[in-house]
Amino acid sequence: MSSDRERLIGSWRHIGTRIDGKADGARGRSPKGIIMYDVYGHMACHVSPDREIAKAGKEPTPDEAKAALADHIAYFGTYSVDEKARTVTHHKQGSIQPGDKGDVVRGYEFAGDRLILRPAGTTGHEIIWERIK
Amino acid sequence: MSEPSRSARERLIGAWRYVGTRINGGNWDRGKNPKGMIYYGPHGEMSVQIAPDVERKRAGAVMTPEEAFVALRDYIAYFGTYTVDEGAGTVTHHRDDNLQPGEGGDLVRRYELIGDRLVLRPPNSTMEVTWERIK
Repeated sequence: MSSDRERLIGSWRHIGTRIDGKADGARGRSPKGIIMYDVYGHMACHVSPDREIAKAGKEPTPDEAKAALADHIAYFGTYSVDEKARTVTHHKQGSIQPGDKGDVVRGYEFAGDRLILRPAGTTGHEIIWERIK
Repeated sequence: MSEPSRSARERLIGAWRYVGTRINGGNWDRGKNPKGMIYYGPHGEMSVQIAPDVERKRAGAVMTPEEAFVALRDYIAYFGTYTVDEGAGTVTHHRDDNLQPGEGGDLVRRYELIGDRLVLRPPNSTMEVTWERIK
């Protein structure tokens, strides 16, 4: 029987986010994403909204930058697992979102090839992932 | 297994910490202590992020366009799949999505594996991006 930490290790494809059992439409119809946990305690996460973001010039304008960042998740760092509390904590080293620092705690649940993460302190909020294999 | 008997693809697999970028013999300026990670998975999946060492401030509950502009500038974040051409000595990143607006498609990088380091070079460029194996 492998530990929860061992079961987390690998990469997972974003399936979707559900709020109170319904698909969260904030990121469009088919947002893509990946989360990975490595054997040495490092992690990275990236979820992109399903929308076209235009860029008129070579560099995005402030308004284009804001549109690109809206609902976009991209951060990386290290992680730790509390098997008793059934939580994984992501210790962020870098994040694209301005003002986004520190740790996030997620309750985890394994369901077959799926991983469900629930932000601590919320109810009905589920981020669903499927193991890449 | 000894290093030479492992394929380049096998040697790429894992997570690598960003060390730095050089172009035209000088350092690419991402601030004093930029951080980043590139990951090649065993099933052909990859992701990369590099965060320049700048303060990404947000004064209010919602970012302003100017705050977003500063946060986005020079931040690299994309993911997708990868393929290795050992004959050509290249790894191609097939991007599923990219943080930077208006940039998609494939990126080809020549790779060089030296000890615990990985150097990636875009073709027809003096740029080299150096990574160190996380272990």
